Amino acid sequence: MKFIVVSLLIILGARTGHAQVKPDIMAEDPSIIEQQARKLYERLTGVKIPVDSPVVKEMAAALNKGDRSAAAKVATRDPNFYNITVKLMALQLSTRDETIKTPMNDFVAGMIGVTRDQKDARELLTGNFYYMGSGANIRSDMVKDLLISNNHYQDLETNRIDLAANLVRVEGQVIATAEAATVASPDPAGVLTSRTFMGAHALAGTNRRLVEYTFREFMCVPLNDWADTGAPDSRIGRDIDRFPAGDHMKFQTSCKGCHTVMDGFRGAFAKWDFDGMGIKHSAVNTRGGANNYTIATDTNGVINKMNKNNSIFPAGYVTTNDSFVNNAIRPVNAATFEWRGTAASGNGVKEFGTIVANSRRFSQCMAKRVYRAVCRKEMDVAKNQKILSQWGDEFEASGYKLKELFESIAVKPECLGS
Amino acid sequence: MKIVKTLTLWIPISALLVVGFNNCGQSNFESSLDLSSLGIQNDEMDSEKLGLPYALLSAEQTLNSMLSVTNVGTANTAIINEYNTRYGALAGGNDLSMANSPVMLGSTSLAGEVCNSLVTAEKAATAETRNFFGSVDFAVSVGSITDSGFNSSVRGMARSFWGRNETADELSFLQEYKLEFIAALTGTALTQVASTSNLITATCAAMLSSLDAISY
Repeated sequence: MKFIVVSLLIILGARTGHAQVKPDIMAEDPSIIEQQARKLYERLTGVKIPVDSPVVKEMAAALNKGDRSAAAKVATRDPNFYNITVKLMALQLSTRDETIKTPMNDFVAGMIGVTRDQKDARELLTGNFYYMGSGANIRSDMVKDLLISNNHYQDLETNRIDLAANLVRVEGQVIATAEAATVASPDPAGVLTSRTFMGAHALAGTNRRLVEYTFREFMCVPLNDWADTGAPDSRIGRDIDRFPAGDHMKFQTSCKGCHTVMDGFRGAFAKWDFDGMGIKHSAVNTRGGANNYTIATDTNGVINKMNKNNSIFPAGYVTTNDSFVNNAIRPVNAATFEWRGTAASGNGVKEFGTIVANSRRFSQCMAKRVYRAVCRKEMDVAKNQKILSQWGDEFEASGYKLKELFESIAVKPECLGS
Repeated sequence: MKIVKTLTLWIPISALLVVGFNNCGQSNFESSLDLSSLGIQNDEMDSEKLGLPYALLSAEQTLNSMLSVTNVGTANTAIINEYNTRYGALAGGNDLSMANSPVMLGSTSLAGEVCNSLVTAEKAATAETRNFFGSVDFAVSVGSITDSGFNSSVRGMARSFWGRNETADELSFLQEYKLEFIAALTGTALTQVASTSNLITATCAAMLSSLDAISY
C-alpha cells in the first residue's frame, strides 16, 4: 500500500512538475546520459530540474534504450512545456515588438491550445476558435474582459494559472457590437483575427502591417526578402508616392518592391479595423464614425484607412472589396514560398491565411521557430534550407502537430547532439 | 525587515559568488574571448560544443526554475513581489549576451526570496525529512555548523541547482565564504540562531543565482 502511495506521488509530482526531490549527496557526478536527459528536459520545458529527479531517471532510461522520442514525451507531459516554452514562443510572435516581455494574451492562448490539443497548426491561420480560461479572480466578461481589453488573459498570468490545464477551446470567434452584445465573426482566421494580432497591426496605419507581420511571423521572412520590383504595381494604393523626392526611379527600384507584394495581399484586411474598443468588421459593426462599436467605412464597407491619402497618387489602386492577389507567386518568390493549391488570389483573411498556411514555407518556418525555442539558437535559413525542408516535411507528415514538432526537433542531432 | 537587513550583508558577497560559479564558464560570457590560438574562429564559436553555458534563462524561466530546483513549487507573495520588482532587470530572452549586472543582481535578489522560503520550510521539518539541510541544526548558533554539515548542504544544492556535484574549488570558495560570514558577525549576532539561517539562506541564494543555475 505504501509503495502504491509513493508511486502515485512520484507520478503526480512528475505530471505537475512539482515533485519533491531529495538530492542524493553520496552520488557520483551525473552520467553523460543523465546530463543529456536533463538537458532535453530543460530545453522542452524551459525549466531546470534537479539531477536526482525521477523524471531525469525516467528520461535517462529511455535514452539508454536509444528511444529519444520517448524521452522527449516525458518532458512534454510537464505543464511547463506549455506554460513556459510554447507560451514564450507565442509571445514573441504576438506583438509588433516581438518580445517575450509581453503580457499573456489571446494569441498566445490560441497557440498553447492548438499545441496541447494536437490540432492541425494550420488552424492558427484559418480556424474559427479561441481559447479562454477560468477561475477565481479571473475577469471573464466576454466584451469587457476579452474583446475590448486583455483583462482576462492578464488575470490568468497574474494569478499564475496553469494554462496547460485551464485553457478551454471555444468554437466560434465573436466581435463586440455593443457593451453587452456580440455577433459571430464574419471572417475568422485563427490568431490572425485575435485581439492581440489585430491590436498590434491593425491599429491606425493602413493594414499593410498585418500582411508584413503575417509573413514575418509565420513564413519567417522579413518584407525586404520577398520584395519584388518586377511584380505588377496595379494594386499599390493611392497613398504611395510614385515620385518620392521627385524621383520615379526610386519608386521603381525600391518602394515598389515591397508594395507590390504587400499591397497585393492587403485587400484581405479591407473590412477589418481595430481601436480602443477592440476588433471591428464592417459586415457586423454599425458603419459610421470610428466611435464606440461603430466602424468608419465607405459605402462598400471598406474601412476608410484603406483608401486614405488618396491625393498622393490619385491614379493608384482604390480598394472596393476584400479581394486580394498574390504577387509573390512569381518565379522570384516561388521557390521561397512553394505555394500550393489555389494561391493566386482570394477574398478575406481566412482565404489569405489558408494560402499562407498551405505553403511549404509555413511548415519550414514553424520548424525554425521551434528550433529557436528549444535549442536556443538561430538557424540561418539560407545555409540550412535542406534541413529545414526535411523538418517541414516531417511536420506536415505528422498532421501539422506542433507538439510532435517540438518533440522531434528537440532530439535532433542538430539540437541535442549525437 | 529582517530579510532586508540580511540582504544588505549577503547581496554584495553573493554578487561576487555569482560570477564565481560558472563551472568552466569564462568571465566573458559570449564570444568576445579570443580562441584563435585553438584554431577556432570567434564567429564560428559554439559555446555549447565547448561545454560552456550557451543560453540564458529568461525572466519567467528563471523564476520557475528556481521554484523547481528548490522544491518550493508554488511562489508565495514575497517571491511574487520580488519577481515583479525585478522583472524588468531579468533577461528578456535567452541570448547569453544579456547576462549583465542587473540580470545577476536581479537573480540574486529573487534567489534570496526563494531561498528564504526554502529555509523556512526546511526549518519547519524534522532533520530526517529535510531535502537540503538535514545536517544543519537551525537551533544553535552559526559557529556550531560543522564543516561536514555545511558541505552536505552544498552538495545537495549543487546537484539540484547545477545538475552536478560541486568542484573542489567551488567548495573551497563557499567554505571561505562561511568563515568570512561568521567573522563579520559581532555582538549578539554571533550567538543568535537567526545567523545560522542567514548563512544558509545566503549560501543558497549565491548558488541559486550563479551562472550555472540561470543558464543552459
